[in-house]
Amino acid sequence: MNPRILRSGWGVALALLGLIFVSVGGQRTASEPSASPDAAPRAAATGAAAPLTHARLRATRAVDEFTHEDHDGLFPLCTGCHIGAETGSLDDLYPEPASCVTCHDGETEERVVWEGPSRLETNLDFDHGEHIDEVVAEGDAPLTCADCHGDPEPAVLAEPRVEAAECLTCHEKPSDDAGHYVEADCTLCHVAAASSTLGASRIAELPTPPDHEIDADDSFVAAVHGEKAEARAQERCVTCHVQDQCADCHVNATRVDEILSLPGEPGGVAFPPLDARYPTPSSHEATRFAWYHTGIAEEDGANCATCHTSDSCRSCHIEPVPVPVAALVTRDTVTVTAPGAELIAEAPQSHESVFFMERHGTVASTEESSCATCHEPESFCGSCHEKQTEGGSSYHTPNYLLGHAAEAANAVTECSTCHNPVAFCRTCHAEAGLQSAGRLGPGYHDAEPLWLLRHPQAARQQLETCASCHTQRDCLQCHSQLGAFQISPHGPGFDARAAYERNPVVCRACHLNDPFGGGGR
Amino acid sequence: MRWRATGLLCAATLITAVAPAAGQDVRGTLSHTGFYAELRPLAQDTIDRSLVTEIDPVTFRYEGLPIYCQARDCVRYRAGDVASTVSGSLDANLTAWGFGVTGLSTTMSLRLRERAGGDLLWPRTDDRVDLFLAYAQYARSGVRARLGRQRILGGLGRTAFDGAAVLWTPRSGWSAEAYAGRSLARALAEPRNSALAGLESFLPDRNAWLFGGTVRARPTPGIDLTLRYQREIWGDRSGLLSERASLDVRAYPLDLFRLDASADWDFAFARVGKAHVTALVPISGSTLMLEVTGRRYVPYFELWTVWGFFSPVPYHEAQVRGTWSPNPDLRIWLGGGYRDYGETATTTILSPLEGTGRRGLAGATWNLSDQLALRGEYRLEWSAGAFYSGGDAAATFEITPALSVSLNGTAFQQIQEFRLGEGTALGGGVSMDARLPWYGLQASGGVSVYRASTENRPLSPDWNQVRGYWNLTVPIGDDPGLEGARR
Repeated sequence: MNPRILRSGWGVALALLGLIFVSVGGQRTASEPSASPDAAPRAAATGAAAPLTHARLRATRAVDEFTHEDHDGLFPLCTGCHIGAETGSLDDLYPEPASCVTCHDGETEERVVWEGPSRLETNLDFDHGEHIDEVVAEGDAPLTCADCHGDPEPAVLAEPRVEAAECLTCHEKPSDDAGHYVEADCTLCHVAAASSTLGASRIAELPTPPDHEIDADDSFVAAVHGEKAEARAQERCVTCHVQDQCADCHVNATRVDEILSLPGEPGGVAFPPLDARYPTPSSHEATRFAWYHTGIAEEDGANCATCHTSDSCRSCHIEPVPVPVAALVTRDTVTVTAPGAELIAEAPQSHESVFFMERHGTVASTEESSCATCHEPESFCGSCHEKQTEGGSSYHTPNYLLGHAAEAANAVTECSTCHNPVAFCRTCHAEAGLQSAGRLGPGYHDAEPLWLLRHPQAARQQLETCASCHTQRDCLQCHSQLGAFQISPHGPGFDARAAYERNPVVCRACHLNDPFGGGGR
Repeated sequence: MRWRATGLLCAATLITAVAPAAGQDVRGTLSHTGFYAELRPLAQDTIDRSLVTEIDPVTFRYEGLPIYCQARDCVRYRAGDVASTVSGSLDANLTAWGFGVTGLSTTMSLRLRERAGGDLLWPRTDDRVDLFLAYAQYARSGVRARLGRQRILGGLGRTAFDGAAVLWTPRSGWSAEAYAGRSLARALAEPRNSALAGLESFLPDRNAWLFGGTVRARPTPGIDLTLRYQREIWGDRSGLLSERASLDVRAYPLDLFRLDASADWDFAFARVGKAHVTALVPISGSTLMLEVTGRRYVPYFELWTVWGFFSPVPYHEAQVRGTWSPNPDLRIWLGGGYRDYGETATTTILSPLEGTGRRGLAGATWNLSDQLALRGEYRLEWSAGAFYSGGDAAATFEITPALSVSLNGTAFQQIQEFRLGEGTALGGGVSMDARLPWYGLQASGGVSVYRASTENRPLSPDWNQVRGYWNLTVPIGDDPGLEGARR
């Protein structure tokens, strides 16, 4: 088959599918509960405030359109038709369609079919009569229609529908759109969206206030909206949002008073879900945040609770988790619908050094609880400190047994932290034939023929190495009052009296008599 | 009586593990480790003095090599036959809770050993049972109390004892702990008088008591301090075994670098023991980390031995090391150190020994891909009577996320303590780690062969040292969220 024909065929088929989809979609749109008849039962069912019944806007379903221009001069007073604007009666805000017959009787004027304005979706909370009364009550001059709707010249409304900016010329400053959306008290003119007659599509089209715009730092989400919500949730947030939307991001939505103070999503109206975003707070960018976040969590755990479930903390923290972690909601809680900020456990900065193992003792000593965050201290520490076998030791290299002598002699690390010098080192050395028998000589240290005469310096420098093969009795063959040469092993500055006072029993291992004649203590 | 109590505690923990009731749980591991190792023990030959050559009254040679002679006999060391050992151990590390009291738990760390074969006795394999930990803990509202066999890790090393410890944590970074009880031998889980029986000339023939305390403080968010004091005395109060204190500090001066420092003071000998100060300075972000360390080391001996009275001298060392991580997959390190031993005040015959030492190292890790990682390191240790120069290299293949295999190789040269000949070793091995699909089982094992040679030394033929190990670990209870998340 010709490829071009094939592509054309696919194109036609897709076009047909598109048409079908659009037509079906259109039918669905038309059947959506977009108008007021559904609003009242919806609000009633959810217990929300009663929907507005007095808000009517211009007609949209007039079969014959009414224009003020065509009727110029016929109605000198606005209230002639719109008496409701003066009385506050919503039913009288527009004339009855039947009143058209007064002129459009088929003789004087042709008959018309005018059905009057339909009730539109709105979240406005405005009553002409109350507004007029309030203005007067405040001592201002009574308002005329022209004050808000423009000068009817000739009897034509310059502003049939008053824009918010016009309201703000009196009510709020500044009166620009930004001021309206960012600074105004919404409740002055609006009711909560959940209590309004707005349908899902209108709610989805509500304008986004300028301060909600996403900038590079996502600062509105990260820093701004929380403070504003705390201060003005009922004045502003409620105008467009329901608590269900907060729960799209806040894992702890069911525990935050400001969120709970917002109305819930009314049945039948799906508020648009909000994209869960978890911008990293600036505090988290600090190089040592992982180190001192504990204090922050303890002092202000509520902040953490916005984004983190205890499950995310448990990617590092093991049981028993700290109190602030335990206080967080858990993922398995059915009320948590937000994804939450995911955490991936990473070794702290201190561990990144290749040489961390050598000095980890200092870290463990100063921050024992910090270690216990991720490591079960008993089994983890014991896996090295009490291993004492080669099997699977991660501390020493696989060939360590063959080549450990130099590191041990130079005390690169303190072997006796994990290995008992007698029960482990000397026992093994004895098995390897490294133990003295009888009088000492240079048998093992055969690179030094005069080893006995040269050993003192080596012994003082690396005494642990000596003791890993030699017993105390080996050395006392010479270094005691019972020994052949009675050579004192004590170095310069040795405080014999102090040693005697601390443990006289050891002194008597070498000294036949009490070196202080019983006066040492 | 001791074993009866231990048995009861173990039984209680195990029963909880087998049949946890509502609100009860147990977490831990059961782990079997076995290993095979070969050694070539030295053997002593006795040579008739008439067969040796007398160079001077104290110097003798046999077959051209020095030999020690006494009266009619002379003794020399030669390499003996290859000996081996096969040993196994079973470790149980368990923590159980849910005994009807909130905050109450028990912890046990038990090791059973078995020598399965071979003619070599590996250290401790003749001790069938070690109970490292067996304590009950109550933790609530900033207070933690432990009773039983426990250990404390810190600036004075690892201290194990049978007794009680109470930790009070009034706020984050601040705590105080006091502990007391029967002291256990260093790095062992037994009292000295039983653990070292038959191994030392002057036995510690009685129990010892230990008491101490630790205070941790965080005066500012950038400084952590830990002060610890500990004293051990004989059970009959006839003498002191040890009395030391330590200070550990971690700080971030001016937020520019990190400072780790620690020092201990030995009251028994009235001197500073081990100490170190390390400054970790990040350069160009954290790409390059420079570590400058000043270190003091002096061996610590308890007062039941005479060693401490032989006046061992400390050494002081300066180290400079750096780690360069140009990208997350590559890390290169280089470092060196120079140490200077203290004045030994000893008479020197002929020339004095070296009173200094050096160390150096260089290495790198390189993650070539998510599946392949390479690691290599060269190390040098050089001081009087001890020399090592060698390197290790390893390649780890992650075949699947649950299975990895490593190949490792090594080559080194060493000179042992004032002993003729330079030993060399060349070899390698293979090891594997696997996470099995049943019950969270983890298995690992490896085998390696090293060709050991000694040059300039007769009667030390080359030989192949074979070593192997295997491990099977069974987690019990829930692993608290670490699996799969850690990296």
